[in-house]
Amino acid sequence: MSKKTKSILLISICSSLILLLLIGSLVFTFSFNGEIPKTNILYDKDDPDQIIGSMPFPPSLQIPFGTDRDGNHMFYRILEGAQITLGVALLISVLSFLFAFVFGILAGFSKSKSKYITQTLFTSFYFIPQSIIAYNMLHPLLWEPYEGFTTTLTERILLQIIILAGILAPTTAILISSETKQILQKDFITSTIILGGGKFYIFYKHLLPHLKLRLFIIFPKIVIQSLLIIAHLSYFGLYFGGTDICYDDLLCDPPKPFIEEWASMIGMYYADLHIYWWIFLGPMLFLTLTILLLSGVSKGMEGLLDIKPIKHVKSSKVLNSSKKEQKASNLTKKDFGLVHRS
Amino acid sequence: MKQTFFTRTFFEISLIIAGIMLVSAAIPLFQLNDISLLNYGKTVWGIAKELATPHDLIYINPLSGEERNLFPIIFEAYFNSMKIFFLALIISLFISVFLLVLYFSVSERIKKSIEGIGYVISSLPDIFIIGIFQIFIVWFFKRTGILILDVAATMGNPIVLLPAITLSVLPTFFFFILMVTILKEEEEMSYVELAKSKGLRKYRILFMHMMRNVLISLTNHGKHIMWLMLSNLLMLEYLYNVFGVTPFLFSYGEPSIFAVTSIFIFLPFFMLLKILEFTFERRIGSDMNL
Repeated sequence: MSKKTKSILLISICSSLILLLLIGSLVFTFSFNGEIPKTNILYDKDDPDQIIGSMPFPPSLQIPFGTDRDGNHMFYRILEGAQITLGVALLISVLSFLFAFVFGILAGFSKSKSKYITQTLFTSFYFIPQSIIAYNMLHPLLWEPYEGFTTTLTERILLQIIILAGILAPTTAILISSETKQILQKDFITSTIILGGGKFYIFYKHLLPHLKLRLFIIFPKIVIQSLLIIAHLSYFGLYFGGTDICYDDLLCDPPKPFIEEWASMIGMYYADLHIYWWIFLGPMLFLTLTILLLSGVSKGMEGLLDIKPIKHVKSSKVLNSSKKEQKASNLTKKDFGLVHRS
Repeated sequence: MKQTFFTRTFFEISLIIAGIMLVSAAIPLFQLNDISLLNYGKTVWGIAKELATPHDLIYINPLSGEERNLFPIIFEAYFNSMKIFFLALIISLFISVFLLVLYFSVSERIKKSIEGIGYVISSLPDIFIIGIFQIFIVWFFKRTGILILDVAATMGNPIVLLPAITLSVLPTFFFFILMVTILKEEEEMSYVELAKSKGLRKYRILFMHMMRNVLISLTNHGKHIMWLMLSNLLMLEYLYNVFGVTPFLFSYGEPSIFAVTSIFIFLPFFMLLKILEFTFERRIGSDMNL
């Protein structure tokens, strides 16, 4: 198998699995109304009166991912949460990618000293972890105050998505601008400038075709980063869409999320890790799997980029054929290929 | 040359500190009801003023509400964090070099699978690794009755060793994958061929000649590795309940404390990178910008 087919295979398998997860989640919610199966008590098969266990159940053949404390099957909860987690991560990454694309390309084109200054200023983002910035910025928004929220759920979700996109943008912009700079240093760009090509012409005709594939490498990485930030935030107690806290002294549940999704499940059940490890591990495994699939897509794209450009292949073909013409006298069976077979 | 290097470094440090201040000032923006440039400017000015007199800074513990002077106490936390970080860095460097030697000595087919496994592990999320570690500790305790935390405690400071080992997992495989890619490039270099044709042994070529270049190329990715490890470190400190710099970064009400802590975190790493850059520039004359 050539490297190209391998890369394409990797990309298609990984992306179709992610799509399958998303579609499965949507189908479950809309055609089955998202009703999560419940098992409160398990009876013995031979003797229906014999109780062999009660919730929460650990993973078994009948219940692959176990149940939570209320007997809900974890697998279906995870499936239902997939659309929100994946959708939000994609939305955040598309937004931050748009920000970063515009600013990165502008920065890549500019040559002045101000670019050096802004780039070094942005380097500070490398030394402050993004999840910490996100925590500090979002805490007043997402942590329910004593008087209750003054914002609605939709407002909070929208604001959170925009803020997270803004936090992710600077490092992405640095990446894109350095890629742009690398391409702009090539010889053919210099000759375009000499021949009188304008900046927009260079961007559209020369930069974009070269940058396209690299952007496809960067994009899955941003999705991974945004998934990780949402997960980190929920470890710190800030669930996506807000944390519901009860301030009564008596009979209080621990803080809980408003929305069912992977990150908040992981963050919430981390405390139960020592007893009911499967409730934590189920969503965690799915999140990890998604991240691995995304990095598989990115890796496949890298493999595609590594392949020599088409021009090169053509010239080598020409070389080969000219060599073959020289050796025309001693042709072997290998030199002939089957062309049509209809 | 020397002069320009130091002035450039100084310029960069002051710019990054300014960047950190700008980021810190953006943090309380959403607490105020009216978001305006004027308010932002005021916050930046406030941070700058407070940083000028650092010994007056007061840290309020978000959990207990206790008020303390920031300065003696932050150092203790800071050294705890740095201990974990550098211990993890050393562990991961050693293990990855060991893995590399192992990789170097097996057949081509096993090499491929090691590479694949390494890539998969290096792209696992940090929280997954922490979770697996915790589950393993609990499982081990239930099985044998030995609490690994206690074992670690008899071997040294528990609060440092266990987090450091957890922290070192991801960078180890990250280093390993990077080294393998660099090593493959090095293997095609003419000096390796010359050494081979002279009849030098495989490991001699690896350790005496190739490893130096591999390690130097590795520092090119220094900033990225720091970035990866730093966010891991803060997560770990939070989840293992280590007294480190993390609680200072969680003081969302105080942008100046956030700024001071960030500057403290940034300075040693940046200096380390710059020192590496400087020595390499002088010794091998290659131009790097870390």
